[in-house]
Amino acid sequence: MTEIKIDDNLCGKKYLQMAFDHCIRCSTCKYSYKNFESMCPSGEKFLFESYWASGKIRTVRGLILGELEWNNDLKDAIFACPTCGACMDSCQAPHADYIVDIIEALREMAVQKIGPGPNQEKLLELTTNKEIYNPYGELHSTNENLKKMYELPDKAEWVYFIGCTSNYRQQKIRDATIRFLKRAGINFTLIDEHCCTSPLIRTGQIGCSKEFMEYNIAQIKNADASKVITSCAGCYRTFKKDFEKFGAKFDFEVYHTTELIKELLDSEKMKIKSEYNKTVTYHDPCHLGRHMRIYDIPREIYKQIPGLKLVEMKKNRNFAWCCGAGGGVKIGYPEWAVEISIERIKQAKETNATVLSSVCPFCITNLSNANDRFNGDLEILDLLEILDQLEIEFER
Amino acid sequence: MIDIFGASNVSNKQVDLYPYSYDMTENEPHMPDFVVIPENKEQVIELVKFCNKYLVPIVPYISGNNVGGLTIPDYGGIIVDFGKKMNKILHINENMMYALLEPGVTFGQLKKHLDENYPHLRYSYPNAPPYASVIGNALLSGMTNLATKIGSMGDAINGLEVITADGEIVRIGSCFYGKEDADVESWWGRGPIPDLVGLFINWQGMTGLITKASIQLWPNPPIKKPYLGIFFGLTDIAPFLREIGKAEIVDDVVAFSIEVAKMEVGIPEPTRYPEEPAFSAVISISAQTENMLKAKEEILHNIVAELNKKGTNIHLIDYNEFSKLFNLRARTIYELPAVILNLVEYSGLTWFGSYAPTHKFEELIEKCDLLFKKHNVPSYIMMKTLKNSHLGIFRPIFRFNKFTDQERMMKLVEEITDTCLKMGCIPYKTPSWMTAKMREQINDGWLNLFDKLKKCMDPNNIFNPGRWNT
Amino acid sequence: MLRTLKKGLYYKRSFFYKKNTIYIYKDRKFFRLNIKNEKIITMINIQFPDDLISLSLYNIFSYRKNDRKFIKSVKDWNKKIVLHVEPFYPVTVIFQGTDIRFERGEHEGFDMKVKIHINTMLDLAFGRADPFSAMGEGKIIMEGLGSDSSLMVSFYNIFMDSMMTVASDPQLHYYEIKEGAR
Repeated sequence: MTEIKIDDNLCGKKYLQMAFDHCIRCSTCKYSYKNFESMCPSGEKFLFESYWASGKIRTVRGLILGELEWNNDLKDAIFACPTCGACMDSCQAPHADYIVDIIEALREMAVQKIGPGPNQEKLLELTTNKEIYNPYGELHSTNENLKKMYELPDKAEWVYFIGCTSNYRQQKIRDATIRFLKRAGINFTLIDEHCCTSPLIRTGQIGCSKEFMEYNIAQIKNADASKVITSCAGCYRTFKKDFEKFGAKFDFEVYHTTELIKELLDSEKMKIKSEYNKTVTYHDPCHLGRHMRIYDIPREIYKQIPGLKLVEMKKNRNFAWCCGAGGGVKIGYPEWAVEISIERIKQAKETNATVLSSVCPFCITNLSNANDRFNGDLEILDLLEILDQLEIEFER
Repeated sequence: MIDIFGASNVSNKQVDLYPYSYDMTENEPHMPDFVVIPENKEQVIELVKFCNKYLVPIVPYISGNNVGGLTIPDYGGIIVDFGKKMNKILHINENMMYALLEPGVTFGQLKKHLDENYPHLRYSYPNAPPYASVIGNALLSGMTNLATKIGSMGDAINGLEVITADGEIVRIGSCFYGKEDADVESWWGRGPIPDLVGLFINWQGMTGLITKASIQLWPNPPIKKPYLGIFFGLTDIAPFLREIGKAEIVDDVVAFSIEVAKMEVGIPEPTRYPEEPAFSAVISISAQTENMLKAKEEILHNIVAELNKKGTNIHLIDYNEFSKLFNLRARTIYELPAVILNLVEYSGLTWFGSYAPTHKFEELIEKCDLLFKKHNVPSYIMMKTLKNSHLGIFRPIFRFNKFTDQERMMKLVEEITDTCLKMGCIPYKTPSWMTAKMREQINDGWLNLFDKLKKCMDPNNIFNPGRWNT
Repeated sequence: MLRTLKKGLYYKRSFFYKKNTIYIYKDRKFFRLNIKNEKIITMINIQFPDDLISLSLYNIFSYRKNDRKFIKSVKDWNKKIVLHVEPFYPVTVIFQGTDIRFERGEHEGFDMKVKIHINTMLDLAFGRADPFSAMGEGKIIMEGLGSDSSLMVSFYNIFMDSMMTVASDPQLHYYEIKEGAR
């Protein structure tokens, strides 16, 4: 038996080791189990075995054993994948829950050997730029202006972690969330955020991740907060799963906005007074759905909005088709990202819904791009944007 | 290649070739030179002509789930991945009960299509993942969950459309009429004409490339009741398998050693305790009416009673009820197509899957049981009878960690192979090392005819060279 | 916020309520739990066995290991029950505190022994027969009842009730019955 030599400095070393003796290539990862529907965006697009989960796992083995050479030909097979986790859900083998970890570890290794995926080096350049600290290249905001605008204290029980996409691209979602929290009487504040580093982790560029995570933790501590809430599924997943992976410890609780809203509705602290008479279909963000197994909480909220008719797409919950933005695909393969999203728009249109809603600003961004490209007649809205339009009574 | 298939359907990047170089078995990996994804038979014809001209090997691939190393390109060449685009269900004929399929159609796909559109028809599914190929399984004489009734899936092929080595399209079977494409309604049978289908069954892709196949479907009776047979004596299963098929009451019997049952519910290295039964069997019965079911059950109970009078210790239990109490996970072996969980828990799988003479069952069980014990491996054996007990299936099966445990497992597989070959077993989906052993025992007449046919069908040996040691 | 204490039992330490107060969240309502310095038992620990009959019992008991009524019945029962399911072999089920474990064979010093055919067991589980009639007809044979008549009641609550609960679940598909099952 050949000895396996994996660099000890690789953060994902234990996942790379898993790739050696855990996959039989039964092809179960390729399709949704029992429904036998296509699930894997990268496999469906590029078709060769290397683009499916089992092929990536085998690629890890080939690279570590030296059976495959490191060269730029590897990049598409390694980086053209939104890490949606459909393979994790479909796979029935013991390593199933770690497939995305294995892919991220493969990317970490690849970044060191051959560099990042196409255009993805920009994510690191921009995020580590001391005047930017976000992957969008926007001038960094300490959020002090927002605090002043919304009259928020410096210290509070809650911190609303806005996230880069909400702060720099989907400000409507940010503002709707802030207004909601204020209306609900939540004692919250904002912090000087650095990127949660989710885009960097997904693309294997993890050098600064722990530093940024610790920065954010320190900022939250400075605010004396014991709870963090975010409206971004990606930030939520990163806080809940990746911080621990990188050894960034914290003792505050982390919530997604849907968890808070559900809590308020269930305890009758929140009553929606006006109606939203539209047919809405809900897109499960991968980072909230498959990665964190939160499927029903958002749905239960939609169902409690008077007048709203919730309809399901054929591929929903753990079978949901990815929006196509994640895993570095949006910047690395922008055309393909929109192609994946167009497929989701088509699925939404089959339900005859007029609104496609989700609870992740990155999904909203990519779905909106696809909607415009397709024929633009769906309204793409975050749940908070819908609630922002409604009359809600809060019991304080 | 790009001219034939288009740039996006061709690759010679090492990273794209690498996953095609291996499979789950112990067989040595080999890299192909290209992988191509055809969309239609015209592209396949061009490929074959090209490869024949330049003597490039062609290896057909669908999902690579065969347990025999059959898609590993031993001599390099071009992997033709039929699974990704040539995967349409072309036609279902309800009256004569057949499905016309492209090679990439999987079991899961077919089951879904039948359940949604033709619930009164069923196909026969193997103990393989739902993503394995229907046609691949049939061409390799796979046996499935109607095997005791209908036999091997190779017998269930009505007709084929084949691309031969000279790039000609050949339609074989009742679809052979017509100079242009055959009517989809004409694929209903195989004879009575010289049976050229046999030139492609079990030939492991050595004689041509299949671009269409018609496979038989069966009526789907409304009433199904599975029984679980429990066999306390080590060889009690053998007479039961011999008798049950002859009674013509069951759809299928799949017998497995108790170690397999325990493995199924998550015990990694199970032990069979002395007081435990040696074998169990899932006995599938179906019926059109309750009276028919009762009659079949009566016959089944009578068979068991008669055998017990002769000294066996066999008991029957309602399988649906028992599996609920025992562990629903065990049902993956019955509700097919399904991922048989215990088989995907490790990274490697191999077997000595063979067609066997049923009068040798006792000896096979006893000898293989000893070999398993010798190598300190739990005794994983699966058995069946085919076609009303005309013949049997004897299948010791081995799961292992490919990276760490392959050598040890290979020794066991080889010893079992040697033992079983001596007793007349004929393995199916045979890897080359096994066919090399078989060749030592096969009569020269057969070997000579085999070589002649191979040479006639594939003069330049471009179709999957290396298989059967060609 | 809702926190999972153990599977099947939730509690929440909510920002809407006093700190350090435990609530049980069930049926969309909150019930305050009086802890009184008692350790909350939320689950029975069942040893995973490796023989056929014990595996069945493991499966049956696991179904209810978070069930309050089951926990109450099992906790501190501290008994050894031999179950002989014919034509199989006897198994001794040892209840100790909140643990259940299995041993093949008939343990010395058992508290009760029950002999029953597998088909009778299935009849009982699936409601085709009742235990008292089965006992009357000699289809269930019990030993050791004389010393403690409450044994039968506990046996019924633990074994019979569990079997019937498993049997009554209409779901036959492994993946439906176990969330996140593989």
